[in-house]
Amino acid sequence: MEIRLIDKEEKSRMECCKESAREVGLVFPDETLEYVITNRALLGIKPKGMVPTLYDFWVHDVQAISGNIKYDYYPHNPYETVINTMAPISFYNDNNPPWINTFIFYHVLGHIDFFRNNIYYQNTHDDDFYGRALSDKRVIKNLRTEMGAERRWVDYVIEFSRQLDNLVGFHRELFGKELAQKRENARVEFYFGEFSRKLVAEGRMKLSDYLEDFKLFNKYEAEYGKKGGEEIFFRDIIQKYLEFGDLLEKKKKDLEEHRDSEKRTDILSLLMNNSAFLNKAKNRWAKKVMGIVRDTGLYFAPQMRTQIMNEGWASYWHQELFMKDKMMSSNEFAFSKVDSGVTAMHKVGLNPYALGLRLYRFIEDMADKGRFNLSYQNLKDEEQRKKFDLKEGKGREHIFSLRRNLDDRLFVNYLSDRDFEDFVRKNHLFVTGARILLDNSGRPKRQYYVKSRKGVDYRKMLNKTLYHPPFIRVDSSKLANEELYLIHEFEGRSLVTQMIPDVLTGLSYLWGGVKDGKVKGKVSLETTEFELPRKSLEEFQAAGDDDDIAYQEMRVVYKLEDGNIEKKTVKTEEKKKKRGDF
Amino acid sequence: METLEELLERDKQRVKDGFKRKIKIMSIPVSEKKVINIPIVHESKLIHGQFEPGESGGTGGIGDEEEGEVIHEESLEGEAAGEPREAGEDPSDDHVLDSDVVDIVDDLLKEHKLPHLKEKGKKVPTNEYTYDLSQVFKGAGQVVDKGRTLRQIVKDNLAMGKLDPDDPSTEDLLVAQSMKWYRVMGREKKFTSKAAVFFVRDYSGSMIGSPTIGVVAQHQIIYAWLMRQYGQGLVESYFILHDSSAKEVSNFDAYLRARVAGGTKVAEGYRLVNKIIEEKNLAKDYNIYVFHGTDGDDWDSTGAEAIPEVEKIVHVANRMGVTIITPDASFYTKAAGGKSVVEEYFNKSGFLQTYHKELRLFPMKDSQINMDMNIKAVKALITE
Repeated sequence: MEIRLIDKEEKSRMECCKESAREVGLVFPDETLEYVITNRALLGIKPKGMVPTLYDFWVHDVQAISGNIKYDYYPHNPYETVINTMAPISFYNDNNPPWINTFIFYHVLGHIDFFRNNIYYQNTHDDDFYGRALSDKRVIKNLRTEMGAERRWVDYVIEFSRQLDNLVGFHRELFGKELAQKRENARVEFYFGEFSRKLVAEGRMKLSDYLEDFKLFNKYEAEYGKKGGEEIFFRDIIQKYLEFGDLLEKKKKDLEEHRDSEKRTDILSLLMNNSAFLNKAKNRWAKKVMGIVRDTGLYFAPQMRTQIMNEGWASYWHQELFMKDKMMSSNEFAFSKVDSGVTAMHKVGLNPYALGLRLYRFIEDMADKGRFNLSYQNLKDEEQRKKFDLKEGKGREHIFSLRRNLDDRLFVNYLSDRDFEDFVRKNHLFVTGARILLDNSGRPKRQYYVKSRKGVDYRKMLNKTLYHPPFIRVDSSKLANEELYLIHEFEGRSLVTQMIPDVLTGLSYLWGGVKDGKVKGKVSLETTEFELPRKSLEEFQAAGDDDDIAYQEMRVVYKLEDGNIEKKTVKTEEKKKKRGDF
Repeated sequence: METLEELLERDKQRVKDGFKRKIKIMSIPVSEKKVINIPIVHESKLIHGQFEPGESGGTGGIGDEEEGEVIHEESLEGEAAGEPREAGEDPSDDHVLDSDVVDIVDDLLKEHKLPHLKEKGKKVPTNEYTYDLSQVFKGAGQVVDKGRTLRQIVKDNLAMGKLDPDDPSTEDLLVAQSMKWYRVMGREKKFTSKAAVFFVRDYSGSMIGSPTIGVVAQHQIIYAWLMRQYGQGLVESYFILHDSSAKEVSNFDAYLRARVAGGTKVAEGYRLVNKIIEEKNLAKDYNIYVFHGTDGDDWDSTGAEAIPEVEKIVHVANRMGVTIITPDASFYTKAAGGKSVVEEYFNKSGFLQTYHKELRLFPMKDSQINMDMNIKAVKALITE
């Protein structure tokens, strides 16, 4: 037995948990699947992102092998894992006692509710990913069989596509429909949203006329239908404001460009559509593989962007629901031990379970007291703020709406600076800094210290730790010249440079194939890097906090042609920072 | 799922297809003295790494300490000091071997066994198997186990009252098939003696640059070869660094990463080896190997202190292998007529002849350092 369905008794306990969860407002499908799994079996599916049906890939085999070797020396017990699929699937350790499973059931229901209701998952809401992955796995297996001795090329295509699976235009896929709608309504949106507002601001239109226009537009639409009404309305407008036509054209062009630039960030799709190599009849199989890898990347994308929200939500609900469960009595001590292991803040470091849970609780409390309003936000006096309580009791409702609409970035930036300061203070949080020093005998040591207790600094630090793939787009003007030229928009962080040659080699293969052991596609990547002067530790130590330390910021281009890669600096800027900032 | 052998084969094929190899071997310490090797693959991606200087944000923390208060300190000994790891830089990359080292090790394995392996007291099971008539079954099997069968017959007949202990007679004995014990061919684990391996590295100031690179590369190959040869967990490793004094570090990673320090006293390194061997009584249960890398400089220029320690080592060790990498233009080599002082006192001692089986020396110039030369050095140190 490596994997089996949970037994009847456990299943009926799960059904009871579902009832309690529904009562508090969690929404999830009636049908769910729960499996019991051994730790060893779990090691086999861990590299596959916990989806046992995911396509076979040799890198996963290497990871499973090393996972097994490590497990011999460091055995560990993962409690649970949930797959976002229809019906939702969860796995449980084969040696969990019943009370732990009940507690985990609640945690799992929190996750399922999150998957099913958060808008970042809206494209996977009705997706049987488990089944889809299985059919994709078969497609790849058949391809390998068909290709016989050459089947390793299937694995190269998987490998090179996976190198790009974070650059798949997630947001365009997610909000594509809304954006298309926006383009369709471009004229109306532009007139009411930008054009007339500008006229009002410039004093060329009265606010009352602006409101009149709204009424008129609605009246025409009611009388002549959506399309007809709009036509009649704008016939007058064009005559009244001669520049409107031109400005609207420009706006439309901008929107088009925006759409194109978004397309150009979906590197995998762009390759599939534009690579001459992939579009040769004999290579079309590769596009099938790339499509599968891209879909898998898109499937995992929301989970990477909602870790704090998702784990915090599941932790919130396992606490709320298990504490009211009859299993709680007689297991209080054990529960508090396990629960604190999951939801305690680390002395140094970040724990998404703990942080998410505390944010939900803090926001819930604020909403219960009606503090999301202007009068509270404008209050300066500490004592008055502490006492402020409108007893609105809308905490639950509030956090339910957050779990629907936010991702991690919006979540950690949700509170105002002042409120976040309170959150940091209430939870005794601080930013930990690290510095290197010489001890008395001249040996180097690393020292961790409290760098800041300020809310703004804590939030700044949090923002830097969030998942954020680089913004990389293709320069379409160079496509005609058969060159794939990627531009990395610098956002304060360079790329992991050691990985660039590998990724470019894979890109070059997908762009132009390989001949005589050399990849043929002409590909380039423009990005930003830094160079710090190599200073000895003693020199670095000797510098005071106010001394400037200089470094260079360079715009560089990696170019891969005929299998050779070279790096060229196109622009260098000398920069300085205070020593204290390092 | 593919086996590790198939995966390594696939990795070799990559080079023929025009791509770099991907599988690396990482050594991770699992206890104070034991290190295991695991295969790893890093999937490359275009992801964010280093922050703009001065912009890296630190991490979170919880507690009531004041701003500026120190909450934890750790020693950086063994880490390249002054160069904290960058965000996004993979920390594990420092102690992984490229998979071409795996090939080198494979070749070594074909040609070389551990020199002078001896049977020592304590044995532990290996991953190898042997087939032997080692299992016993009652009632059926391949060869009757006479002694055990006789005991069974006596025991059963006593119980049935067929045998009088005071007047035993074989005539009335009942013998049934179910009383017969048989030996059956079975798969048995092979047992082997353990090995204790000392890596000793000179990290004095004069080792800066190429001598260190050479020694580290050679010791990496030897280490990987030993791990493959002996299997996971059968080698106990000791890592010793010396300048004018010697210290033991806990793992190979720290051993490789330690930066150069002060002056040189080779004897200190050897003395620590002998001290550990004595304290842990290693000679009784372990096959002992000592590998030392130095640039041949020593304040103890006649070896007055070092040579007695060497003698102690070669009496208990199966092999002591010393690499001397001299810088081309070294004050010390000129002083000793082209040979380093360490090489000189080893030669004078006559040990290289007396203890030919146990002691090997490989002198080379730092300008010669390349993979081929390193392999040649390693082979010289480990040949029977």
